[in-house]
Amino acid sequence: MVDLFLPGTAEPFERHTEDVDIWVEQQIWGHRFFNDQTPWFLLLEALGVMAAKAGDQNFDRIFPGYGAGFDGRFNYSLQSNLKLRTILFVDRHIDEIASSDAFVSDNTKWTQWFSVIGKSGKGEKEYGYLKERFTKFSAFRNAVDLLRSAEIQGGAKRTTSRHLAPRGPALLSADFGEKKGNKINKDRRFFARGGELFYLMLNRSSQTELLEAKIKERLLTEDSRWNSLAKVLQPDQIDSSVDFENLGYLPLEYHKTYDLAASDWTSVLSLTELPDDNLPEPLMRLSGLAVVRYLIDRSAETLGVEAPPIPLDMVSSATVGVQKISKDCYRLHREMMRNAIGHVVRGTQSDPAWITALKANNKILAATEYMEKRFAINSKIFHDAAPEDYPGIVEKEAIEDHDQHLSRVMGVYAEKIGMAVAKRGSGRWYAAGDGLLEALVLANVTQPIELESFLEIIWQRYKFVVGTEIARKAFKTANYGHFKANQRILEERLRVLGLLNRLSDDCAFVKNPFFKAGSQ
Amino acid sequence: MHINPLVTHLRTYGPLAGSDAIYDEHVVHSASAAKVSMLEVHGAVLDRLVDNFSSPTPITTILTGTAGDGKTWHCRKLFSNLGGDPDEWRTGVGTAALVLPSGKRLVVIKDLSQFAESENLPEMARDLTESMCGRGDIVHLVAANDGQLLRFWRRFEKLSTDASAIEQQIRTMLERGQRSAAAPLLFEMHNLSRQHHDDQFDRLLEAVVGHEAWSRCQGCRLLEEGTCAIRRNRSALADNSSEAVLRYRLKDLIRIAGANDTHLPMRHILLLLTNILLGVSHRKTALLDCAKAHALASEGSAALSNPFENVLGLNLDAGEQSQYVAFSVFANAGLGQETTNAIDAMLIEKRPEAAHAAYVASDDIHGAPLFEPLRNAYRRGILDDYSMFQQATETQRRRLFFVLPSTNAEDEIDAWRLTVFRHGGQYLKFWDALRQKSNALKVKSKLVVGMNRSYSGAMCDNADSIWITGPAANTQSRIGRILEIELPLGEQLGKPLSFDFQCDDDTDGRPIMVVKTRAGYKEPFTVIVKEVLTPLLFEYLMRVEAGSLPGSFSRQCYEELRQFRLRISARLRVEGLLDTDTLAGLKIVRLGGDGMLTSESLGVTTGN
Repeated sequence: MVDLFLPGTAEPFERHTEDVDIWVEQQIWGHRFFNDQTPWFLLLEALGVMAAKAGDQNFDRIFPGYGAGFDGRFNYSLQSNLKLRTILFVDRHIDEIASSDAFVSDNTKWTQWFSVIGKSGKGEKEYGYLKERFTKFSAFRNAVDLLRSAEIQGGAKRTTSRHLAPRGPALLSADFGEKKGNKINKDRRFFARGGELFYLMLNRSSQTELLEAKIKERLLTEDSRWNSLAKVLQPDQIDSSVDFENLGYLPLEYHKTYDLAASDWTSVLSLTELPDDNLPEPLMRLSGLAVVRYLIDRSAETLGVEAPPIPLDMVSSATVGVQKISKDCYRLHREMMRNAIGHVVRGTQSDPAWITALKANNKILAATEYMEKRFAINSKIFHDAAPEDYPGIVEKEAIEDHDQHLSRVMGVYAEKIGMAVAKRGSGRWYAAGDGLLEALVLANVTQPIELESFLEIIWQRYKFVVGTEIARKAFKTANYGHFKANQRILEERLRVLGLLNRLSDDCAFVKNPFFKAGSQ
Repeated sequence: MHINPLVTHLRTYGPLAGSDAIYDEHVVHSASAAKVSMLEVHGAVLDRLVDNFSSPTPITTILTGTAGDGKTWHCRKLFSNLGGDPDEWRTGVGTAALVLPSGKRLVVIKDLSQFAESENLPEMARDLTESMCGRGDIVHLVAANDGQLLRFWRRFEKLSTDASAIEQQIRTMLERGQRSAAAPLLFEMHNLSRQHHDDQFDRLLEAVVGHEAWSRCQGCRLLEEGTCAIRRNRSALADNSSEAVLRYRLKDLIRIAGANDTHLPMRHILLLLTNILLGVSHRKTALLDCAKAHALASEGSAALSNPFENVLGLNLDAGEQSQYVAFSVFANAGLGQETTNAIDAMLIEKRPEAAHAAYVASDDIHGAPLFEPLRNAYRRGILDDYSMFQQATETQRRRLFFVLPSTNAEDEIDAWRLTVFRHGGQYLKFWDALRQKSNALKVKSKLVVGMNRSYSGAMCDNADSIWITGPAANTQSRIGRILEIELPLGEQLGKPLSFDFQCDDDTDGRPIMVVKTRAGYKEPFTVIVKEVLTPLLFEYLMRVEAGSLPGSFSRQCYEELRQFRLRISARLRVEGLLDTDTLAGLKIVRLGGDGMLTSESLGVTTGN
């Protein structure tokens, strides 16, 4: 049997393999993580899937579990929220009209606005419902003003890819492009299935029950006032929804990063002293972190090697040694991804089915068939090359494909979650931003713990190296003095962020200001 | 030449390379060699230890604290107080034991870290577990600093469920500053670093300047002539004639550092006091002894021992002073760097004359004589090296911190304007006022304005309630767009919520900001959220109130306030006192033309 998947992984959905030119990296990491989908978009897409499941009577649970690999085979729909998006992101007149003295009455303000938002009576027909919902035009302006300031900076410019902070189902929208005639184009550019995969990761974790309850209670609740406010701006009848068929492909039934992601989510969602409004940001960072870990770990597993750790530089002239080693590790992580692809393709050479194909009478036909079945490839790429050279050609194609997108995901994600920086001339390396540090404390600290214990935890869980003690475990040779300085700077930064207390010269505690004992 | 052995002994405490004064054992040795009685201060902790161990039901006690806080000293004093044999104390390796009046056996573990490599360690952990659970016939007195203590128990937490309970309990006690373990565990922990800094400073200062062996100066020529630098420095330290003197300013800054979580261990305070007394600049060794004091007097270079420079350790080589926490407390306060135009004008232009006469001309050793020649050269434009003038100015600013009055208002000529804690004097007065339960409404109002500005991002003047405002949804914006809740300052009739500043004993007695609530209008208020008001946060709020933003620490203070706000919101929501769900409760914040924040309902007619 020649399969489109690696031993021990799930069978992909046939449509997915048809959608791509070549199906190699997907067998290792899935289909698909994409560089245009920032971690914010990943979180929004994942929450969209969860909200769709939670809101659909046909499903009794958000996370039913692996289900023999069929957990991704369902259809879901997300609101297009076209009117809401038009009001928030297209309109240029509300402010102007509200603060203008040119209008005698409130009524004329509405009339004016209706006339600019849609010509020849269309405005009032489409948006007339708003007038009844606000005591006056300026109240409408205030509401719009507030929701505009709740926009997530996802990095996309088109209106149909602009999103609001995920504070309830009504704030979650589909992401799509537009075709001529206002047709919806499901281009999957910013919601590129990464969120679907992340949903599957959580669904296949061992904490689904607790997670489901927490997500419903804190992220998908209709009770949030932001949710209510969005509903006030939307018409009673939802304008349109966008349907999506089947989720992306996540090869493994189980992977340790699924549990990593799930337990980080559970920890943050259990913080009763952290207001709901402040949940999405750390979740965005921790989700992105889990994805980066997943990418690294899958390469290492495929290659059967140990992955280098992640030295987290604090960016200072006193830590250039850390920066250097961090840069090396980042480079190695990316190389490992490429090597893993090569490893999978070259694996064919010892596949009995391939060896048989090469011995066939019409070996061009047999070899081409094999490659089509194994990597969903279009045989045109082989031109008139000898079948023996096919693996080399596939590898080259696969890597070119990889370099376009997935290869960039790691750097983009690491940077967007505050785990890496890039400088012109010196490339990218792992370095910690304040947002990531806070997210790490929220997810890993309950009762105050010593700084050293905290460093040990983030080493065990994410393979982060900050201080000397861990650096000695992680690297045979390194500039340990710089790791010492690195730890000192981390301590100072945690202190400034209100996440650390130094008790004495010998002892500092990392604390989670949003944890309250006994209230979990 | 006359020599006072006390001076020889005191040098042991000073900042000299190879000084072992941090260890109790060496001080004992030095005192007996110099044949003077040791410096001793008695505090409440020792009394409590003696009471506990001589009672019918003694319990195990841990002494923790930073190196130099007197852990070993307390152990030794307790041991001898209970009749222990001093020889056994000296010869006992790491431990000493005696039988208590209750019949129980006391084992003193002088320093837990000494046992790090010992093979007896597991056994010791088992014994300690028993005694800390209140079982058996042995009680312990253990000296260990907090880090060692935690490492020790983390290593043995898997020994038994009791041991892991102890590990957890110690962690909690350290973090919260609790003294007694919660049942069923039975032990006490005294953190010697958490004593009130001002009391401790007073006791140490008295012990140094009031030592009986100063009488041994009798008969010295310098004493008769009044030319001894050491005696002069001692008089400066001993002076308690007015508020603006060396000892009170030192104490104030040490209090402020302590309230900012920079603790000065006892031994470091002794080091500081010794350096003020004996420090000398531009000499081979940085500390005077009697012979060098004679030499200074005969050369007429008395100014070289400048107590105001010694405070920062400036008598030591550059770089050397930063090794000592005691000096960095003063350097970090910005002494010498911070100033105001008025103070510099007083120095350089001698204006206003009265102030110059009172604060500069009046000091005929470290004041005018040091500064005048350079000032003249500067004014005449014949200065060769500007940096010399600059250094001299800084020297004067440092001295002036100990000389100028502390005013309540925003006077330009105020000692605290010479530090980064421009409102340091006000902080201390505010703190004392809170301790005495007096109202201090004026300062509270300013702090409230500072908080409201910080939360709303607008230059508002609301002073009688805290406006808990935040950005819309979860954005990281610093502008508070919506009003979560308005908390009245102080307890008000008919209001279920209250915001206030107060002092509690369980937060080291520091001022705290609290949100309080009550179940019914006649019920008493209880605190539901609190946060320490450190001098740094106070400074930030007062400066924001005055219309400026202190760049160097505004990030930290902003984060602290943000977390405080989030915790308030979450807690009030959990308590059912905050509506974050309905649109009716959603209020938009605006800054009115009169500088006051106003809130406006959203004006939605539908929805919930």
